[in-house]
Amino acid sequence: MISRLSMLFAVLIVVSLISTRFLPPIPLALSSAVAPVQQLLTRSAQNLRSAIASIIEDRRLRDENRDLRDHAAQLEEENRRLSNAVRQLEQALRVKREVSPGVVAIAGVTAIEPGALRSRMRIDKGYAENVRQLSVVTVPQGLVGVVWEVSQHEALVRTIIDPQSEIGVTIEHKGGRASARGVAGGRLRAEGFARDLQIKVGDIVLTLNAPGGVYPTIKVGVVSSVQPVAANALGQTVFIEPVVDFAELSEVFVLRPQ
Amino acid sequence: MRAVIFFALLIAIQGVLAALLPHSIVAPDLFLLAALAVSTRLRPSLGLLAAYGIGLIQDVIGAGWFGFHALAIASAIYASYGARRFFSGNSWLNQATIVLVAVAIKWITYLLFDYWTRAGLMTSTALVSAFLPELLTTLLCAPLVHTFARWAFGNSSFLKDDRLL
Repeated sequence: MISRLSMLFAVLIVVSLISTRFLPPIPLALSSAVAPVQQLLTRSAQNLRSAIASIIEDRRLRDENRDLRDHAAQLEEENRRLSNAVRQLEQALRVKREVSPGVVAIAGVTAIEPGALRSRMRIDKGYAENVRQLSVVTVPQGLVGVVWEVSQHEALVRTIIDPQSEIGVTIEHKGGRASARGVAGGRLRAEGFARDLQIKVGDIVLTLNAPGGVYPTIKVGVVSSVQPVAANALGQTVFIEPVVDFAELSEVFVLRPQ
Repeated sequence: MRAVIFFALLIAIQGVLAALLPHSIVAPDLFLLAALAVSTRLRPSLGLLAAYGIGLIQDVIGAGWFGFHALAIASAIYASYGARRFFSGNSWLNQATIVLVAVAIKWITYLLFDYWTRAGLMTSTALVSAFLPELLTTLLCAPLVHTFARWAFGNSSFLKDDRLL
């Protein structure tokens, strides 16, 4: 059996050696018969390969898209933060230019203490941030109040409409001086203007001499009503509508006591 | 019918793999694995002729020299018959070694043919970039083809016999 198989193998060797050396390659006509099938298989495989590549690319693009979206969200957040910071600094600059150069801190309002009798707010800056008792608190629109109590990182501000608040005021372009106190209803009542001072509704009221030092004039409010002067009264009394909306405050500027 | 499906599917998959796989991965030699499967189910002389025939089909499809792949596969099958004499049983290691010997002998036949025809195809680069990857992929696919052949042709009675030659 071994010799028969080996002989057969030897014959096949001879046949192959002769055919490969002396015979031409297989005619194309013979292989053309299977060419369409081969072509179909090759085309199918190429399509499958392209489909797989598309799926992989699609997944890669999806991941990249998600990463870019996350990155864009981060950049938007950063942009928002920077815009806020720029806005704060612009406001601080405005306060420095128009109100007082002595801005020591930009504080966030953390709480507004509700109550019909008092009007106070908490800010998130304290001793550590150079806030001191009787520091004036303001916003670009006008005067907010005065720091009443201070802790390390927090302070309590008594606003100008607090009944215990008292500030000196004057009328813009007209002069005069009076003492303004907060009254219920979110207004101030200024008493002591000269009887002959021509005060009208709409006149702008400025600070005169805030407690704790001499400050530049800061807008307090607008005259909302003028009380009729009684015959035996020493001076005029006016009511003042503050320019600042205390309920809407989110950040304030603390001035350095001079 | 199952035999026809077996051969048709192997030829189709061989064609698809060649186009589907990246260039760095060489497709397994499914013709050789088919020849191995058939040769273990026939008498040795018939198995050798069948292997030669499968090689001829490969030559026709590839439009190459008549007898090039035919003799290479026949040599591989002849060597596998000889190698089976040294193994007992039908373990996976046994089968893997048979495939290894068959692929190696096939490539040695390629080398000899390359010298005989002075074609200059068998360079060291070709050996490294084609022989080793083909050996690996063929070894990996061998169990699958073996299982497929069992479905197509039934169990091989010759594999139980240690001494075939």
